[in-house]
Amino acid sequence: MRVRLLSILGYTAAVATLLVALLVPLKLMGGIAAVVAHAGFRIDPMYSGGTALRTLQSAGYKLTIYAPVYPHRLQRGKPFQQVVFEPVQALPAQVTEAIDMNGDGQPDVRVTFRIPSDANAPLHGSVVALNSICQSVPDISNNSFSELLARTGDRIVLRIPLNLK
Amino acid sequence: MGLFLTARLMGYMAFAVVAWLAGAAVPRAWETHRWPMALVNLLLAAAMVAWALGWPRRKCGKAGRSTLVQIDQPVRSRRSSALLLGFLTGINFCPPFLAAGVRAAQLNHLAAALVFFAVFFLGTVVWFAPMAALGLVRRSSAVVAVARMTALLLALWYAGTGLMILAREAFHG
Amino acid sequence: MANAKTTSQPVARSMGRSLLMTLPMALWTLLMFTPGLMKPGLNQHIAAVLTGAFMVWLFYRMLRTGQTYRWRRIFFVALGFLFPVGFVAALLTLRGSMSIPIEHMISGDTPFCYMVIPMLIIPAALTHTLAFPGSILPTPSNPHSIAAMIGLWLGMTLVLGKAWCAYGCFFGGLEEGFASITRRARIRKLDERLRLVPWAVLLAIVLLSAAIFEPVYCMWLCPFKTVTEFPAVHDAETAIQFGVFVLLFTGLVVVLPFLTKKRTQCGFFCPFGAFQSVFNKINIFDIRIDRTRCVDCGLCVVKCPTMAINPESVNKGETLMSCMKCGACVDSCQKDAAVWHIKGTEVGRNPERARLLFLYAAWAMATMFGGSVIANGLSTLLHLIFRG
Repeated sequence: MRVRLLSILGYTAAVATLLVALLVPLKLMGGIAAVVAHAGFRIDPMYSGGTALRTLQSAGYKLTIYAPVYPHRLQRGKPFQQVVFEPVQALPAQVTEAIDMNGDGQPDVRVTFRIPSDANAPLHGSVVALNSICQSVPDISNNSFSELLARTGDRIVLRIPLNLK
Repeated sequence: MGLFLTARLMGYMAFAVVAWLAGAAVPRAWETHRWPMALVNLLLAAAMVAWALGWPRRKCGKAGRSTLVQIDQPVRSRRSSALLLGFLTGINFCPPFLAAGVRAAQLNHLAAALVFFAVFFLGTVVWFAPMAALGLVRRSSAVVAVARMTALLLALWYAGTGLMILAREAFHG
Repeated sequence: MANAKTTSQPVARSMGRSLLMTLPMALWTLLMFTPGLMKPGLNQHIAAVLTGAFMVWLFYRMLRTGQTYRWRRIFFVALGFLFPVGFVAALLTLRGSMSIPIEHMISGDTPFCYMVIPMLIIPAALTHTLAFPGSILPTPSNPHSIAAMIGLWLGMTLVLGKAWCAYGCFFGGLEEGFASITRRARIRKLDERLRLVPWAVLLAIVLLSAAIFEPVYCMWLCPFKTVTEFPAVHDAETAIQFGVFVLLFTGLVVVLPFLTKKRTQCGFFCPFGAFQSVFNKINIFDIRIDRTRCVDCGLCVVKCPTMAINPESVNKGETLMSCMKCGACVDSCQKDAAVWHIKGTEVGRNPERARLLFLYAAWAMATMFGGSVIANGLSTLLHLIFRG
């Protein structure tokens, strides 16, 4: 009796697996993807740059200041704060900007960089810290996730390393 | 079991204090150089390799009855044995324990090191509880083999990290 | 029904019966490839038709001959070799290079690979963040989003279990191809403990990834970076990374499979394979050894490409947890002792029924996913041949 019951259950599960296989491309795959997408996960800020805090308007372009990103306990990389300049077409050939990073009304860094005509050429610039919040970087380029000046599409992404608290 | 775990926690706390004191004793001047961290990584890698390869090898003799730990004796001896066994296992230098020690040495405050090791202790209790119940770790040669191989792989990681730090120190200063 | 192994031209069932039983799979294939036929471009249409016909023909041959392994292998090798063709072509179109610059990582344009999944679990559980420079949702520049790939992987895993490694993975076919070149293995004696290495690699990368919030396997240990994409080489560290990828690919995917006729990367290194093995515990299909027929000749142990069967397991009448249901042992057994099986049922009572139920499910997945990848690669090849 038990053997027969197990056998019935086994075949039922096998047929159910076949039915699941038919559902995978039709409903299941998309359903699981939707659950994952709405589960509230976000990409690690060391990669994504963190969450946008505020946007400042400058001469024809805007700067978006992001929240400081601190690496996890053993994660490689330094703490940094991201600033995004966009759109690239509205930027002058040389950008010099004094940026208030922490929103206290006082500029914390002065950044300078040139925009090459070749969209694929790497960017180079300099970051001068005006106080102890940020670190100065004489030649900033696309070196690492936490010390970065790079062009992505229509934006210039700048990541300024912060001093540890 | 309560006595054993309490004594084990005491062992963890004692190691946390020693590790933090060792970290605090590192001169400030050394903080600008990363070679001590490189050295620690390399030593940790060596310890992991030694453990993975089964060194030191000790075999108990036929009369290998402990005079210190006697859990099959009357109650008073059992209690003291549990305390001693707990404390000794609490300062057992297994690779994860050493890695946690390195981390504790880097923390700014002694309290942080103690909390870190308290959490580490909780993690090991949770991790090992089912293993103790099932006796898996000691009985399964496959599990032991995987653990040793993992230790070797992690040793490679620590060795690689240490060598890269040394290389950066040498080339960039 | 003739014994499939005692005749030189193995026949399990008549042509008419085989064609009839292939019909549902042919309809499924048509359903799966209709979107491909809707895409513009003669190359896409030709590739879709050829691939669809290829998949249906292989399924027909599996039914007609009663054998699984040799037909599945043809599909799998095609998948392994054509995936990089389509993937790399897409990369070259998008960014002109196989290397991933940091700009693409920070903008979430890194395609997500299912092999990252085990490394994401602990960091995601602890911090609700995904330690991977990709996108959660698809974007125009990155259709291989995290959510989509997890949906695909989990859906297929619920059906296949560890059989993902024989019917789903688009990397394993490369080494299966190299392992098939020679008739006899040059190296025949392999340490049993090698099959435990994937578990050690899995444990190591999961622990390290949880500690440093990086996909450690992708950054340091994935051999297939050599034929897909890799972090742009710009300093000593990235140069060493690339060197490790090439070394592992050459050794584990090309040379060792050629010498041993085993899938050495899959069976003796891949941590994702170890992770998938866990799902074998809940999968209803497995392969068993009928002890009333087995004569302990050891042929199944020799033929298994990943050492997922050993004398101890044969004695117990089962395969190990790492069995990917490729069918090599079943097809090689001269006594019909190695059999397809549905858990809960009597071993050896109706193995062909178990095999058919498994094959319909597994081949449906293979056609859906692997078939589309093959069609994409074929379309790229046609474009290169005719357009240059």
